[in-house]
Amino acid sequence: MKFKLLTTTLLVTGAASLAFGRPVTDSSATISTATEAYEFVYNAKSNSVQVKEKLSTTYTANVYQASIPVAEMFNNQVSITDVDCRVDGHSLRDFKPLYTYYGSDDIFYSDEQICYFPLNIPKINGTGVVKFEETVADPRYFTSIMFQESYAVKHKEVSIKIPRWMKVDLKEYNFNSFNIKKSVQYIPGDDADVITYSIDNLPATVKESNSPGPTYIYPHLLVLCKSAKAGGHDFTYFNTIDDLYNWCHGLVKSVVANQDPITAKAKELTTGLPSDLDKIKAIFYYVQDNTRYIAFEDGIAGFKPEAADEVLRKKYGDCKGMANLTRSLLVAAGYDARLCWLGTDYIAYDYQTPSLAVGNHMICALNFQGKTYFLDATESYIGFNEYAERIQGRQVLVDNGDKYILTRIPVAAIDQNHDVEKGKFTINGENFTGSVSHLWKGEDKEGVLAGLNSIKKEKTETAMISFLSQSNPDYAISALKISGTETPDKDVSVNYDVKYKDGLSAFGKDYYVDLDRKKDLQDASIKIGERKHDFWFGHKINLSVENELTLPAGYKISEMPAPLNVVNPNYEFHVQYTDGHGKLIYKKTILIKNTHLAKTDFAQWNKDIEQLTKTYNETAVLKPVTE
Amino acid sequence: MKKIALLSIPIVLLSLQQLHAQGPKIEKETWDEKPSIHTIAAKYSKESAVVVSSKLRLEYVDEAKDEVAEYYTLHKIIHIIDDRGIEGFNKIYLGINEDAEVVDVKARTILPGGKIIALDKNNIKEIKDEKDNVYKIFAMDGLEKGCDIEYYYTYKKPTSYFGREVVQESIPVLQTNLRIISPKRLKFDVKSYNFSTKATDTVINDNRIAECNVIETPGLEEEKYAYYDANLQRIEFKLSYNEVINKTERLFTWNELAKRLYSIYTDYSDKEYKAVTDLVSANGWDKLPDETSKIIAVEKYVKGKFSYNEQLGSKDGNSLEGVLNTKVAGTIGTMRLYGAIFNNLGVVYQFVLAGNREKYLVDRSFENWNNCDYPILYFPAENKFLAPTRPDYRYPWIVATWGETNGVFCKHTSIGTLSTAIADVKNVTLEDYQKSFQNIEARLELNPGLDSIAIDEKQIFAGYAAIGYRDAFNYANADQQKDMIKELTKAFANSENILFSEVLNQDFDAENTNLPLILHTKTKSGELIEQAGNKLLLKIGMAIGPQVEMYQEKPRQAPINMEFAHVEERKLEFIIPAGYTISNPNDLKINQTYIENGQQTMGFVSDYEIKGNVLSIHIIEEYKKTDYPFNQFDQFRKIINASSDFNKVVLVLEKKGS
Repeated sequence: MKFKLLTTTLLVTGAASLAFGRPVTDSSATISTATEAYEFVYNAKSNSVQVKEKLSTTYTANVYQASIPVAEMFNNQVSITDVDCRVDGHSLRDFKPLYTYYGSDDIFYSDEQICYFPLNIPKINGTGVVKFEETVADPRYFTSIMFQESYAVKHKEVSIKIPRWMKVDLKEYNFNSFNIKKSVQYIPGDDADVITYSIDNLPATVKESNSPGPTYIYPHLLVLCKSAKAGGHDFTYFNTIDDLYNWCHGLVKSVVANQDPITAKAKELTTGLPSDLDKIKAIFYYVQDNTRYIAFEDGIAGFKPEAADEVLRKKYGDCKGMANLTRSLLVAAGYDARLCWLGTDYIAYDYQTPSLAVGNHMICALNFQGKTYFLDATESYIGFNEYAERIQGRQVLVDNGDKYILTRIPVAAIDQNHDVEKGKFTINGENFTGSVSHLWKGEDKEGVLAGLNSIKKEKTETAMISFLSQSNPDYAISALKISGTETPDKDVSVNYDVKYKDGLSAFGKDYYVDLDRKKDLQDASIKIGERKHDFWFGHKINLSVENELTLPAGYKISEMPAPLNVVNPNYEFHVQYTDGHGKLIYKKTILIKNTHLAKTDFAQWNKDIEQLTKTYNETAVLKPVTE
Repeated sequence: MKKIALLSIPIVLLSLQQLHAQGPKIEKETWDEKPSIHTIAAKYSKESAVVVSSKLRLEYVDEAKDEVAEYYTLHKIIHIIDDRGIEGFNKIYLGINEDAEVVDVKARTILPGGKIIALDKNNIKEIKDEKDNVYKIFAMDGLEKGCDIEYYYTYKKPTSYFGREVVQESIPVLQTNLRIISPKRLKFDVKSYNFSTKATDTVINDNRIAECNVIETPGLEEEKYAYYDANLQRIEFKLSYNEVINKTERLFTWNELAKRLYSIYTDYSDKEYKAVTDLVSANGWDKLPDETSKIIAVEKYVKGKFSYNEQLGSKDGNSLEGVLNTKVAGTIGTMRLYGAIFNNLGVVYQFVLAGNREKYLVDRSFENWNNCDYPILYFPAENKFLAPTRPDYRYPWIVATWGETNGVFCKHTSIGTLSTAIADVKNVTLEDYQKSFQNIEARLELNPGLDSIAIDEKQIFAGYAAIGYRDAFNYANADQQKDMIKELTKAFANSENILFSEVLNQDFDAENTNLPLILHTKTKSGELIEQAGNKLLLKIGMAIGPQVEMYQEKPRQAPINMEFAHVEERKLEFIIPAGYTISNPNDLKINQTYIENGQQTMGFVSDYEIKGNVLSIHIIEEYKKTDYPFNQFDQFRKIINASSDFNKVVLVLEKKGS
């Protein structure tokens, strides 16, 4: 696994926009049998240990004209040596797999490639057999074996042949609810053990929004290649965490940078600033603001940071390059800054297991006035000493010369994030008119700014109006003032005047009033039985709304919905209308304190969402005082 | 759709001249060694970036063996104005052909202070996408606001004597220069679309140069109900004369295309034709009473028994014998199969190459063979079409955007014993608008607790409006079908609480008689009803599903394009609960129509009546044309917005006597 930054930024924030999407599965085919055979071999010619893989999958079509997208990844370390495909026993006319670059939103270019072809099975119950033979050139890159497939599997066998000259640990993950049988057979002739796992009736993987990463949920083996003694040679891979650190650190040490531009830039950024903290922030925010995330992960470049002066010159880089530039500028300015390796919360493992699969990210650590701060410049809009949910609490390997420091990134309190909306309204004919202020902090602020800046064709003000009005042209915003967008150090806030009629109904002399336009989490119930995995929120939510309506002259509050107070260790919902003596006041607070909503909590969550929705569906009534 | 193979057949354009023994004589692209930053007029200050200059050059040069090579050069200078401009141009993707020979690629950043950052060629990578398109990609170094980006590249591409260069982008282009340089005997015609420009034709030494200069092309933004690609300003070109052979004989005419197409699609041996005769006989198609029955039976058989593989391009794979043996065919094989069967049955048909309204058009007076990619069959007696390469369509339905635009009809003719075809470029007429509809019939009734509504609803799809749904229901597995029913029901009934569902007339065969696809559901929804004191608020407008709302803050740039003309009729019945009355039923009345030359061409009309305790609402929304001109946009928008205004109608149910 390369150090890919997972830049899946939250879309424009607000709990109402959270997707409680339906699971996606493909049952157009079933895998009737699948075999995967892995074998460690010594290649005398290259004097290296390699891993040979033979994969065979038999698909059975469940629909007419099934088209199964067959894809196998390869890269500079993993080569595909043979591909074969047959449908209903016949080889295919014009069979031509496409070998191409594998792109993603996060990575501009990498050596990651894909061998792809559609397997078309015309008839129901027709079969397609696909075979791949592959070679992994270095056992360090043979990190895991996933058991589940995109299609349901009737029977699967995974065997790993390990000569006794090869030291490998296989760690089993998420085997609990699956019927996976393991056997070990010693083959004297080869002096090797063959470990075989056999699985029946394995369900298809299920894609669901806001799921934990695959290593938390799917049964798999983490392959820890430690060392080998073959061909009269000793090979050490990742026997301990020290080996992993030394390998990563060795790559960093080999990076040669021209210090002059770094020193000059550090001086330019910090000269005249009154305090150390100002200088540190100036450097961190400079990298955030002026370095665009563009990842080239070509071969070893997937693991080795680019020289800081090159990142400075190009004004773009990946997480490693941005971390290295942050560190280099801080060091040049006289501070103790280090590079760090870590895995985000996408990965289930920590550094108890020495493997390249543990890490997927690099950041910078700063030791300042007895405290360690972690600086992640790939988070373009987050402030100093604020942490994105995905790295909070994660174990981190900090550069400390020949040794490393193993520590954890702090878990931020819920008040790091805040989304506060306050409005004051009057009734004007059939409309509400008034003024609104809105403030965002922490990851809410990051979400808003990332969302605004991702809209390429519109100016900030147009995009902000579209966001605030939820693209509703009837929510007419004027006199918009935006502040705090210029530096991540400030909260983002907006003030505006508005005229709108949603939520106000006049029938006869009565007014029916709903002072919550957005109704956050209204559609957030979870289909129990359909949802397969826990639901993970993108970040902690701390949302409050306070709207105040001045009653029209001669009117009184006739009816108000009952208050709602849901308090739970994981979340809280509070909704209340109050009589403010000539004013109707609406207050709402939504707190998601624990971002991980477990399946076992879904039933209670749905009951609470139902209560919240019921409260949303009730309106206050204003009547003339004479009635 | 894969390009039809006949268009890529190498064409020898005799030079009758001494051939070059040395390398190609093409212009070497260069840039200013001492560039200065471009100053952009204040009127562009709100743009994120501006293309200062876009130079395109296509060079045709003689090579050995009477072949002509083509080189393509693009040279661009872009001025970056703000952060979005940096985001937009930080990564550059240059499209090239597979196996193209890249002659040169250069890129640089010019900073406001004059510093130049040249691109390291080692940072240029090559990628291929899933459609086999190849790109040179690189990231521009050192971008900041106010800088210029400059790049150019030249590559040798597979020679084509037709082309289309889009000169308009989403941002303004200040200056475009297009030159087509060829040996002087080869004369290209050039024509502009969506704007007007003239090409000059100059001969310098041994070369002929067709050149266009375009100044200040505005940016074009995407708009609702507009085909973006089709509305972009573009210049098309084609080789029209080889003066060494004949100065007046026009090359690559529509007639020549028809002739070639006919020749390829009817290329089979007597033995192969005999096999088709046996197939016809075995299926009894020749015994069917009329031509329509024969067309329907043949299509059903071929689409059920044979697989169409767009990628299959080999000669063997497309021979009629190969197709009959393997039951798999590419485009040519598929057209041969249908042609042979219909010939055998005596069914009169024409091969047609259709265009696509979403992208470009078949122009009777400008024969760009690249603009007619989609082969269909036309039956003159029935005046209807069949789409052989689309297993998801059945006679007489074709992809709607292939119609209401010109196609090349290949009309069979005989010269002595020789069978061939001549071209007739004319409109591919779509089926009458009234046959395509997306209707709703629903009955809504409150439950006894008055806090939810039981909805018995039929969503009824026919004609072009049914194609996508029918395709999805037929090719989806049970889980996917369940999901689709849920999504459709949620969209219209605002509820996932489905008590009953059935899909009627799902089979493809239903398309032959335009039997509507019906999704019948019974649901319970709490979303449409709210309580306010002792009143009930019924969000009846939401029962027609979410409607598009159009607000045009900027002047409309493009005319109105719709996929197909159609009708949306909704009949809603609401059972008024005992003891209640509706206080504002007149909110249901909306009338927006547009009359052109005495005929209504589009409209939204909703009305109601109350009989006893039943409120009946009738809505008819019609768009009788696929395209409406620019000057009817305001009227069009009012009608579109009338349907979204209906979405907002909330009925108030009051207790009688309160």
